[in-house]
Amino acid sequence: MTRWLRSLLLALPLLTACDRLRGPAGGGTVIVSTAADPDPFLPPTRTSVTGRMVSELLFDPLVEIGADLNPFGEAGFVPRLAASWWWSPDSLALTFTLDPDARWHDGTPVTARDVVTGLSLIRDPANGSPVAGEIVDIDSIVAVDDRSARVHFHERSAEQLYTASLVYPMPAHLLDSLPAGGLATSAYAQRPVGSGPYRLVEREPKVRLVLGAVEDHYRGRPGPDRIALTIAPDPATGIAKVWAGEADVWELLPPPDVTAATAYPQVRLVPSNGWDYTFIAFNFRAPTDTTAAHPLLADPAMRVALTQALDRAGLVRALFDSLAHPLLGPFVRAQFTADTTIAPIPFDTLTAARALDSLGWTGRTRDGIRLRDGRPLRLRALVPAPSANRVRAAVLVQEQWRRAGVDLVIDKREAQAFGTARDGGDFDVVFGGWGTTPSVRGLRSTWGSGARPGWGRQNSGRYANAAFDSLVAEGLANADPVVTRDRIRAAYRVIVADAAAVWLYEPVPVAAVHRRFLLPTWRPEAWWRTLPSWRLDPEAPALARDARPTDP
Amino acid sequence: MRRALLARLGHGAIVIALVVSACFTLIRLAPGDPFFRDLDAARLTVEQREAQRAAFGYDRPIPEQFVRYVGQVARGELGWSHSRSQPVAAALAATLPATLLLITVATLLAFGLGISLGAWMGWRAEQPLARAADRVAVLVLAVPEYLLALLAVMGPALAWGLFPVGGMRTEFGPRGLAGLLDVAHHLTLPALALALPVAAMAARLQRAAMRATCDLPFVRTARAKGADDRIARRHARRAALVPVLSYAGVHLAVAVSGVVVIERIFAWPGMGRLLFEGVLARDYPLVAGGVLVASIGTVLGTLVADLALRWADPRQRELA
Repeated sequence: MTRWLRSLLLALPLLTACDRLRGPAGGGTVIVSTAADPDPFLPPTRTSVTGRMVSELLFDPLVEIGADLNPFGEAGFVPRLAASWWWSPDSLALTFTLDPDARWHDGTPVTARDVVTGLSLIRDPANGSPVAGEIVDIDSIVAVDDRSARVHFHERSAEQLYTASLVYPMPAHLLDSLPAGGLATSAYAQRPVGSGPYRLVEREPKVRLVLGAVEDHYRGRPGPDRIALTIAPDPATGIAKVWAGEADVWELLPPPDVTAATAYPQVRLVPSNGWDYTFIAFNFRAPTDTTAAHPLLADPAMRVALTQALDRAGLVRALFDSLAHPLLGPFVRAQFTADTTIAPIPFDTLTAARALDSLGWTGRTRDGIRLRDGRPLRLRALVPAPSANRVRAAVLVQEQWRRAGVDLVIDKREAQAFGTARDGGDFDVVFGGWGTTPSVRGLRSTWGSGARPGWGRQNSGRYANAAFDSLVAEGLANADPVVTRDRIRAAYRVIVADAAAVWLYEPVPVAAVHRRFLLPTWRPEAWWRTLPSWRLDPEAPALARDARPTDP
Repeated sequence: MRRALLARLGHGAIVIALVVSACFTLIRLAPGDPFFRDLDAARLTVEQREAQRAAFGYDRPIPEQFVRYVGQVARGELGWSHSRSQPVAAALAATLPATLLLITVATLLAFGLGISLGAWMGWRAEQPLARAADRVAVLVLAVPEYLLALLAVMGPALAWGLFPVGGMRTEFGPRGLAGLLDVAHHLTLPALALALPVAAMAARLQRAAMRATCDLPFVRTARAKGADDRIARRHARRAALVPVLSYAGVHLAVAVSGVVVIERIFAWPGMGRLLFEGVLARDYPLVAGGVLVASIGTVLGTLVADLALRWADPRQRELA
């Protein structure tokens, strides 16, 4: 069965469910099973996907990107705490007018001062906000009056509104008295007061977290009465909870469990578009001396030969069957800038062998490993042990490269040891992965060179190409979304032709959801954003936990 | 007796101090720090990382951090858990009862079952049923603990629906007495998975000791004086307890590490899981606090086992 046919079949129940959304009112309890604790979940400090989910249910942004996931310009953006916005004549300032009905969960009105507080919490280095690197284009935010906040930018860019949407207003009346760096250890972090459709009811770190519906929310009362996260550190147990009916949602099923789901008729499978991608980054610098070029991999002919020696399509099939796509470049297909016409470096073992011969690797050991001047062609691969997919991928790559005469030594490390070695450049190749967003500014830190201020911070292989940097910078600086997209696509072509990495795969996420809920459209980049619109199917038997809570 | 007890407590205090200082140092020497993000998450800037390390004093030399930590502990403060965003004392208070409940129930079950079964197997060693029970005990011992736990999740919990898959209580489930029964329902599988291998070991030790004791002069004398089978067996069983009680001491010492796997597989919110996750997250204060409490528990547990040994075997009192 082709992957598309399978996806369609998986999606059919969801599509039919959408037609019945006009059922009776909401209610019910959604239990989300997860292996990861959401903490930290305050908007300035959140790091994980689960943390994002909780923070976006507890807090509303000023505006939200629309369903087309186009981060450029302002078309499609949806008002949230900001009812409207307008630009200054020079496009360097953006003024938001706040919704007059917006309230914090303690009843205090949301004001412009809260937007200023949101920015200062991100900017405080001791809070360690991951958003700080994303909003470097913002110069300042000022409160024009109680209901108007003005965001000043250093320069014009295609993603100004998107950038502003990353600054969540935070309650100044509760946070302005905090000492610098005091957010994580504050009483507020334990019992946050938010502005979103749900408020925090209960939290047992690493065990459970319960959110209750805000009855008088300015956007209307959300559907489900309660949303609970139940945390099982072992994913097998977390998924088994969904199979057993003890939980309602598991966000990302491994391929074997997608097949197993047919045994549980109460579960519906929901496929969507992936936002994560995995690659093998080549190290352009010597592992022992990051100021020197890598003795083997700085040569583009070697990188291309290694890429040609890999059957990526076969590798993806072996790992995921049809539940992943071969990656085309440093982007996923769901992104606005995705370019599916890019021609990848083809799988061609003959050409790869000729290239390696021409590079002088003509000798062979008894095991078939190529030799040059008596030295074997050996590479050390840094692999994160917690990622089962990447560990399996490394074993498959090892075998394919062995056939080409390349000895790949797998250096598998636990997460922190992996991170330390990766950031220190202590590897020949690294099995890396990135979670993307609709924005393309991440390219600056993941693949941009350190030649520009703030760029290249996460560029583990130290790839550097001035043409790539220029195209990304030009694209982001242009206000025309079409021009921006063209420039970014041109940058993709440059980095793919450079063979900066072997682009491996982007998984197709499949979620498991209990059938008693009628679902609206599934937001692939943030499925939880439509949770307030979930409804109980009146035709499906309700569970005891769906009874309206007496103390929500 | 009192002097011996004080000496044991003194030794225990030294052990605790050594274990805590070793863990305090080693966790800081491991790669990474408490501010590491998810595997593929955006990294902190150098400025952010330095500011965070300075805010918690991790930029200071390790000996200086240790002296400060000892001062904190003396004041009753265990620090702040970065991975759980709460004080370490609160994290331990939240998880210790769950682990104590699990370990206590599993230990009572293991040794109650193991001693009774082993004594019977030893006394009736020639009976086919006793021999079969011994083979079953060997089989249970051969199955790794994690596999036993996974089989319990897949069989009785998921396939047969007899028990919950994981957690300590049903989400939004009953409270009061029904709530206690709900906890007991959730406790059954993890306690059994933890207890069965220990019970099998205890049964085999007890069986061997019982067989050796049956031929000892004091048992023969009791029989010669007209004691019936039940009385003679009771005399023999107490004397045969010595190796099992020694094993109990060792078991208590390793119970916290054994419980890590069970708590993880059954999503049991206990201290084993807390320590394991704390180590992975390089949550320095949480690991130090957790090791402190676990080592106190271990020292006290082995002390109790030693006292039980002295009760069972008067020769031990003379040796002390």
